[in-house]
Amino acid sequence: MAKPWDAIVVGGGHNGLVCAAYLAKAGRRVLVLERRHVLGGAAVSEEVFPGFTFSVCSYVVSLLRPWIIRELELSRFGLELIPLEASFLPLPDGRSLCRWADPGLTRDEIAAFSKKDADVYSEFGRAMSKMGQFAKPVIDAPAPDPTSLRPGELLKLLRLGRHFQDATPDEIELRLKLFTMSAVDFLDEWFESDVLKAPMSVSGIIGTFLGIRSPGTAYVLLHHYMGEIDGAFRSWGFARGGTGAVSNAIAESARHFGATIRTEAPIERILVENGQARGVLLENGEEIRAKTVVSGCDPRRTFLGFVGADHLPDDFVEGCKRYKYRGSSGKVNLALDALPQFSSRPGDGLHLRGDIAIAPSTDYLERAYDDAKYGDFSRRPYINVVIPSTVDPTVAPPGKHVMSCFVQYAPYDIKEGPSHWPERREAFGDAVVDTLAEYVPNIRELILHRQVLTPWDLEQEFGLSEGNIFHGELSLEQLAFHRPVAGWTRYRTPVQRLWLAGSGAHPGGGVMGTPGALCARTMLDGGAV
Amino acid sequence: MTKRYDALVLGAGLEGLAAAATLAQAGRAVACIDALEQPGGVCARRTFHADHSVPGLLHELGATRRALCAGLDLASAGLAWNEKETALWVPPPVEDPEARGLRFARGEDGWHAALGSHAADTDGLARLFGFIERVRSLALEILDEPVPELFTPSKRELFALAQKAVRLRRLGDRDMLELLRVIPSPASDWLGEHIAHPGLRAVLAAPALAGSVHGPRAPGTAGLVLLRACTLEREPVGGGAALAGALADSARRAGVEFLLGQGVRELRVEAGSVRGALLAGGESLDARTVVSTLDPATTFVDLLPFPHSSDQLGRAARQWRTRGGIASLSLACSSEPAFRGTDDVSLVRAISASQLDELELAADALKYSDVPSAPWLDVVVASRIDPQAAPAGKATLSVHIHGVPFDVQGGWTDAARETLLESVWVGLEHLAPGLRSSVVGHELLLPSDLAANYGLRGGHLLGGELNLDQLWIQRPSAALARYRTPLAGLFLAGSSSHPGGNLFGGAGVLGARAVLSS
Ligand SMILES: Cc1cc2nc3c(=O)[nH]c(=O)nc-3n(C[C@H](O)[C@H](O)[C@H](O)COP(=O)(O)OP(=O)(O)OC[C@H]3O[C@@H](n4cnc5c(N)ncnc54)[C@H](O)[C@@H]3O)c2cc1C
Repeated sequence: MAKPWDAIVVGGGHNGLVCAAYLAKAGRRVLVLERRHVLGGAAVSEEVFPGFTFSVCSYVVSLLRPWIIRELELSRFGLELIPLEASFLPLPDGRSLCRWADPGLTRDEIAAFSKKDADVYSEFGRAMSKMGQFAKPVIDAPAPDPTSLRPGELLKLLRLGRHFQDATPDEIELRLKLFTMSAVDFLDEWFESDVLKAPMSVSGIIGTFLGIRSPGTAYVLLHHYMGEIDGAFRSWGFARGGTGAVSNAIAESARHFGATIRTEAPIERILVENGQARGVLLENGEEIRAKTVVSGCDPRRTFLGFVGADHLPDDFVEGCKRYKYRGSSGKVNLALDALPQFSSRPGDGLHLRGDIAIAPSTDYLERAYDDAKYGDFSRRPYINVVIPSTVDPTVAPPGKHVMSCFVQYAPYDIKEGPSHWPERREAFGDAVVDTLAEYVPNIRELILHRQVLTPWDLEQEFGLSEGNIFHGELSLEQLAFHRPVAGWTRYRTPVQRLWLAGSGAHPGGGVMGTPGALCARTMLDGGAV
Repeated sequence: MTKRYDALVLGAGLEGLAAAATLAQAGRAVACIDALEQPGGVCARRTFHADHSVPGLLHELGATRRALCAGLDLASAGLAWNEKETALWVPPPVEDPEARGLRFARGEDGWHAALGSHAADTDGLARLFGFIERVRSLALEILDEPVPELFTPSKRELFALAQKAVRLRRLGDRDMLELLRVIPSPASDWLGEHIAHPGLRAVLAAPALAGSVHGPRAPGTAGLVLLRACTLEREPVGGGAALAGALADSARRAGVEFLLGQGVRELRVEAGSVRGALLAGGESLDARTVVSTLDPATTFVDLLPFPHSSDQLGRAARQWRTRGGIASLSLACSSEPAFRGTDDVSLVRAISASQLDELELAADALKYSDVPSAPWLDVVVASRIDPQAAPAGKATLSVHIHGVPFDVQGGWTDAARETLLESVWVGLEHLAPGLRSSVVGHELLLPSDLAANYGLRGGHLLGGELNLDQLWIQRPSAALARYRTPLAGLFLAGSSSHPGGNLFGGAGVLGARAVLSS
């Protein structure tokens, strides 16, 4: 039998790949095993219909850490990010609001709704960016550990405290509020126009089963002020070739450093002997041995699936069961015959080269949540639309377009039961198209093909438990030293030599790469591999 | 001629009384001022129909900070506490009348529930309340002292903070982490982890959410359930009116002068310091200290003359959220009510919510300012706690209707009130069959009526919404949470200050102590 690998990485999602690349770069022999025929997991590009390439799941890149791009030399391996030009909010009554990269233009747009808000908007941006700076060290390092009494840990907590101390009273107040308030309540303190608050508040609920009025959703607003492309704040972007290009660049980097990557290699079990991970068993019966195993899959799949409760301590199993997924979003990908015409801003323009939010009011968004609370998809959902073909000609035939619609809410647990989603799939797709038609009257005629992904599909096809896009809700009680289970938040697991590198580990979901990178670093620093 | 005092206490509700008594006991000359004719605020007796009255409008006084109020010697003012905790009755759900109801009470030997066929939850309850018991003393310690100084802590305060951290660590890794996980969680999740019985979940969550506009799916509501479970003890004999009466008595004995029946029109400010107050009737009072137990907006915006309602104060006041969600309905009945599903005629309190979604739906109505179509009800048979509430053989009930917004779309017209009442009758009929036909008189106080009658901003009964962002170091704002205000001599010590809410007496006593130590 062949010499065992230093590490097997289960799952070729972008985090698994990042982890593999770092381990390979440090000279370890690494094997990545991906279940699907393509790499990337939820950060994937696929030619779903001939000529039309979709970022099937994740569609904008924001938090991908610049230091990872640099250290893994991703630009060299083909990564190219195209910044979004604008955030466009069409309204059903024909008005619209566009927020641009240019603050002056944004100001004018907002002033059409509220002079006061236009003045406050940039001040808000500054305050938030400042807080983003404060939060960045938290997402770029392993979670603080309040249970540790080691001097190093205490020092870290102290430093966090210092950060707090150095702030002005106003800043302290703002931070406290940000971490306890609902997105809407928080924005209410700054702005008066609903038209502005609605699309802003919505970032607080992405991937959670919460509403914009649910406390604890405000902090996610920071995301928008931490996103960076080329070091520039507040920018979100497309990857040329779709989000899968990010994963492909990471995979290229990993291969360059010597990693081996296999697709269509689903594993069935992680082999555990005497409390230690020893390798994996593939679904085809093949057994591969390794000194360490890293899982890039979510905690449920990893621990309750691949490892099995028998090999785990009871309270850890209980923690895994408590950890909440309850996916709340779906995706509708449309292949279009031509560029869609928004009745509020007809014609082509830069407003189509950003993200477009169907979020006309805070009540609209809250009602969308209410539908989901009681077990149905939103009749009128929040939709985040992008049309990457406007800036990236590689993804659609000339003159034609791809339109990606991220949709919330679509609760995994619909009242008929999750396995009944396939019967409701097209109705869900129709609700999305009907909603779009209120803003783009001719949308139906433009649709050449349509792909509808429900939370059930995200689970079945992409291995995301309960369709949660972030490997578990990013709610306050599931962050930092609670992610995924208290006491096991540093990529280590109760099974020796088994590590967790996916979005279910700190700092969580999104195309960031951080869990994968920090996992690799922890393994290497500790001499685990 | 202006009268001179050491301190003026604005508001003669529970906090105002506690603050005034504490100050007077320390030898200060204190006047306690209120627009209402009698002390007690919402806890004052309210006669609403012939010889039927309610001993105040509140349903839970068992979280009163008895340790903090110990110095006020309420016992010699005649106050006693019940021997047992009040049991809550949840009748069987409407759709399943065959099911058994649920009686929930915390007995002498820890929490227990008459779970009937739902004995399966015994273990879950034991786990839940085992945890609560373990974190309880730390919680009480934090609630019964002022919040830590965040902005410019002295060495001593830093040391105290470090001690607190050590106390937290002493819970052990497991409980400490669990505590940090539970506080920001939704109640529905936390309760769901331990308890299967829908009625039991509802009975644990419902009263805890009474000060919040949120339903049990909202993050932070588990923290509220925990807060209530840690603080709620036995109720005072005679209800809120008895508690208020004893506090007023204590204040009077300590020498507090009551100026009732007229409110304050304006605070007098000179050279950045408070100098006294001008009463509505025109009388001017001198004092170097003013302790307001009114809400921040009333205190800083309505009472402070421009330009002292400065940016910071004005902002804090505007941002303080006080959306009430409860209407109070008092019922005069010709006979004793009988709750559905039980023949226990000593039951004092029942709630109509037999599952968490009923709470969630009521919260939905609040969000959209709708007249709730199926509000949930919290019923207290006032005449069973207070013999004065009704003549012998008759009964008085106090009903809290949950999910009633301050404003509704189209305004609170007579028709809207009728629609609301109609749905309440339906709910009451389910709770206590035959009740409606025994009602001989009623009074409905919507949140807007509560605001008008009692000066409660937003109609909120507990000084401002209870949410994570409005508790502890943020009650009522990070800069104002230690009772002091930027204006020398002006203090804030009502239920919108820490610990606030229904932790009665806490803010009043701690606020008065802050005055005394400065
Ligand atoms: C619809 C949708 C939209 C999103 N939009 C955005 C966005 O715009 N911006 C953003 O930043 N984030 C977005 N996200 C979130 C982001 O895509 C994910 O958080 C992130 O891609 C997860 O990466 P990961 O590497 O941690 O895990 P995954 O990508 O889930 O990787 C896990 C991998 O394991 C593989 N696997 C599963 N089972 C097995 C097995 N038995 N054997 C071998 N391999 C297996 C899976 O196929 C998968 O490739 C979105 C997610 C979804 C679903």
